[in-house]
Amino acid sequence: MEVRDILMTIFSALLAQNFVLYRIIGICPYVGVSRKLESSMGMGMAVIFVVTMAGAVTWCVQKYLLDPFNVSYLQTVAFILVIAALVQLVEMFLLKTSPTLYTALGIYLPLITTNCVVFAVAVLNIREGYSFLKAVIFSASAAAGFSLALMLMAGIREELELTGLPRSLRGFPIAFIVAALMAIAFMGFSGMRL
Amino acid sequence: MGQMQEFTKGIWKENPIFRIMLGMCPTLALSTAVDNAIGMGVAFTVVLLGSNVVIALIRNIVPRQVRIPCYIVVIAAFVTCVDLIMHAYQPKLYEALGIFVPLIVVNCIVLGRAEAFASRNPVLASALDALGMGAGFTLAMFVVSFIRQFLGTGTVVLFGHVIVPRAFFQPATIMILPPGAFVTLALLMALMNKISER
Amino acid sequence: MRDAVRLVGVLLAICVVASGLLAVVNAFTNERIEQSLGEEANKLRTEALVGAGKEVKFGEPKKVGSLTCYEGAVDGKPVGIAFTVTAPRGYAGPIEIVVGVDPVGERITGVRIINQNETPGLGARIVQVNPGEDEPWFLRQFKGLAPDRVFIKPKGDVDAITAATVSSNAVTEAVRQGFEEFLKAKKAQRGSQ
Repeated sequence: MEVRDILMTIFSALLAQNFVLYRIIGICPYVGVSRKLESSMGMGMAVIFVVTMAGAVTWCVQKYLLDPFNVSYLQTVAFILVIAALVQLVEMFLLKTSPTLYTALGIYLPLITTNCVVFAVAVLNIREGYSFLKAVIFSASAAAGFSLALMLMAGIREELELTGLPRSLRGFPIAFIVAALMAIAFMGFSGMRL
Repeated sequence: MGQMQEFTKGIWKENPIFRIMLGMCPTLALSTAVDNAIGMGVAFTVVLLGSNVVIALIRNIVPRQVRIPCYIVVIAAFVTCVDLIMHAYQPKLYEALGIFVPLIVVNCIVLGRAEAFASRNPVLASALDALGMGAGFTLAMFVVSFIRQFLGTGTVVLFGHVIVPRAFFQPATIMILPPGAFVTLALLMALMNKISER
Repeated sequence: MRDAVRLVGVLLAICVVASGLLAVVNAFTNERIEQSLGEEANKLRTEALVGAGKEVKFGEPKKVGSLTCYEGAVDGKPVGIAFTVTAPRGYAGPIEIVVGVDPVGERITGVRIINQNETPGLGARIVQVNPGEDEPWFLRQFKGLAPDRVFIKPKGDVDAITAATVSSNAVTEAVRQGFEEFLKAKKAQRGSQ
């Protein structure tokens, strides 16, 4: 696979077709966790970690379990169970090996199971027919894109807390308006060629 | 709560999109056209109804420690059914909804209702809850998509029938792009906040 | 220990029931899904050759160069050959296109888009049908063109879509390259016969 293809995959997943601001996937955690920059960084790291692994594992599940037995219709059930189990394992592993890391990321892990991004990435890897390497790269880049959008949003919202917004706009409404402006900004990335 | 109230609460007081504020991904992403919005609303309601009913039925057999994985499997099964049936009998809608059909399995509303309601209420109440939430969700999707499609393309087409004729203004394409989704939902939410403030 | 067995047992039982149900639904819907995929492909090929509404019978797919070609016939008379090309770099990804050609007169009979993700209102206007018409105006332009005319104006005869040059170019390039490859491969086939 040539370098250009890899770079395009990263660029597209990270910026041009950003999961939150273009595909509109992962909104619940996006508006839910982005109040503080610190928690956003924690969530972002956790997401990148889990999504990359989940992307790799689900790809293997499809290739070595679902396809050979011709049971692709079990994809949704299989993937979601794998993701739930994976998150559980990661949590236990972190607890045992690195308590500091666990305290930083641990609380976000259960949230990630129902994070649209994990599941969407897993399904997209298969639908787009990516090779294993491309799937891993795509997964990592997509998660990084989510984290990037999350941290940008958190930075802005922290400042917004200090302004005097009308009551009806506080919370979700202003967050979405900020998201709209960010989405417009990110639209500038589409159509770029390498 | 009276039986009817289980149903009606999902439409206004506890509208999943505007009040509980969950499951917004499909509302934002699929509200580019009224047809797609209603299609998604129906698919979602079917899944929610099925999962709520089954989970209410098995709620006493499932041990607490494994309840989440069990509920998820039930939901995933219904999502797959809807996915296959839609792919077979409504391929155009299936293509338009794309990845959001399987994504219903991680929709916060579905698992949320299973955990918060169906796991501790009888079958009939759970069914009504599902129908109410589904109706509220579909209503929210319809409103958002109506606004976006009208401002973004100048006309609204429902299943082939033009229900709003070509407007006099030049449509703002940005309305049917992601920014338009965010802005529309933001302003609608702010409006609902304002209304319930009084 | 007994508890753990019960936990796993219930989960397993639910999985088995779910899988069984899905196997049944899959068996029911599989055929229909395959069928509708085939129907859609045929419909586009028909439109690329003779327009909508006509009955075109297609033969078995044959390879001409790297293209998989379907020969279409109406009432036993051949009406052209349809093949698929992919424009690798539309504005938002690859665009899959069906090209219908008349191999004898060496002209395009029609072009249809199978799959595209272009920006709605801009690049997506490659499939826009104006009210009162029966096919996308952008694609209608390709009808009857010889390969050396398949360029954006002024080099050729194709009007690009305003503010959607990338999409217009991508489609035009792909159609022309596919057409040229088809003619070259056909000549080579004839030469070797």
